[in-house]
Amino acid sequence: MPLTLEIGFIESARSGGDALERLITAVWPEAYRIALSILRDPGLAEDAAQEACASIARSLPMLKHAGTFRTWSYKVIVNQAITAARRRPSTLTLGPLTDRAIHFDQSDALDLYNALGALPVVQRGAILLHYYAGLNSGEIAVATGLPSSTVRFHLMLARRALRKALATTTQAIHSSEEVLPNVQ
Amino acid sequence: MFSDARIREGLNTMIRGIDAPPVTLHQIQRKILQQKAHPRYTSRYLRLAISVAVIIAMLVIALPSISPALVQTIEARYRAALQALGGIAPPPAPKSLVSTLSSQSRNATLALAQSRVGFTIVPPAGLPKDVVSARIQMTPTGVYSKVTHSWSVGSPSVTFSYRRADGRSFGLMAEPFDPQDGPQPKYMFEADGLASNGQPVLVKHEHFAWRNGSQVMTATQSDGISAPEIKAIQAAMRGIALPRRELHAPNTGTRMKLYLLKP
Repeated sequence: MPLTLEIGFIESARSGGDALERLITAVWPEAYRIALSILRDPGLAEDAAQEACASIARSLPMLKHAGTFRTWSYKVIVNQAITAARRRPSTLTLGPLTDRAIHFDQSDALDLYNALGALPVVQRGAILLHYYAGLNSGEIAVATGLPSSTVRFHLMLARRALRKALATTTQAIHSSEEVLPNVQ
Repeated sequence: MFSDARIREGLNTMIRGIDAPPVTLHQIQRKILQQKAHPRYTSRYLRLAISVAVIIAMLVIALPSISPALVQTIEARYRAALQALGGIAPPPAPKSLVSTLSSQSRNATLALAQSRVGFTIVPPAGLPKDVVSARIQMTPTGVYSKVTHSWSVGSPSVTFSYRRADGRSFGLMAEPFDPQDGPQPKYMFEADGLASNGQPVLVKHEHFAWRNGSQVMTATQSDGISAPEIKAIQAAMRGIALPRRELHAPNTGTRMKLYLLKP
């Protein structure tokens, strides 16, 4: 599971120094990936991921239980990405799907990337926190500052949009497969 | 229809398919320094009151001397709160300005204070009955101009500090009335540590302002004084309540003030 780190590793990072640098190095790829999934802009994603890592480093001593590091750090990352998106709404366009840094070997992943990009930023964040980080709607509500009912509503809309996008793509693939034999 | 499991699996694949660039520790380190940690102060005298109006910062420092470093740390808390509220925080006050202001902060008698300010001081009345000691302090003020984008030394204010029988304390500030200051804020905000999402935890305090002639007196509800007690003081002084701005009303002022208070 991503971002699952040893408790001792997190505890030692609280004192800063090299241990903290190692922790940030471990968190960085995940922070960038999540930020890019939400922001769709590599430059913005890199900046938001740096901000998230800085926030994590700065607030780590205040984290009460190292066991909650994983969900807590996802909250920080997603919030930073949403904040970055809100600061620069004009950049919330779809990024190029053929970006060299993105390699999907399954059609579902590409379809999801496209479908996710069509969602409002908050819904992207909610979907990632729910399906990827494993947070429930109550935890997402705390993380995003939205009421639980609003989070559930966002999740429902996002889920519906993702399923529709995936179903449409799959239907198109099946249609092609049905047609091809006749062509041959 | 696609199951939650397939969405979960698809998202996992999608995110794993994104290549992250190399970690830039020096950039992260720079951002850590920029958003430097804001230590929690437990002293009940230490207050950083924040508002989004013209008068936005009030520092009450319970130390024998004011350290520019401490002021800048508290300013950082202020900036965090203001930014969290969507406002634009001024840059840190220069150390030289803080040193200048610090040297001007001193206890005074009412007569001495009156000789140093350009407005007629109307002392507080109707104070809580358990007040056991009082002190008058000259309160230097730093002013940040949103027009010239610079800090300067402002007109001094006068602070009446009171200690109560149970050890609590509170302050009332008197300063010259200036119609250009615009409406006072209804609330002051204090950035009190960080939440789990890395954002500052904002504590809201109701803020009051009333006018007696050329003087404006302000007080902020805190654990030292309640809102009804402040209203009783205002009523006893027969002060005219100044209009207050709601939380999200636009900030039309062109100045921001920073006060240095020493008990």
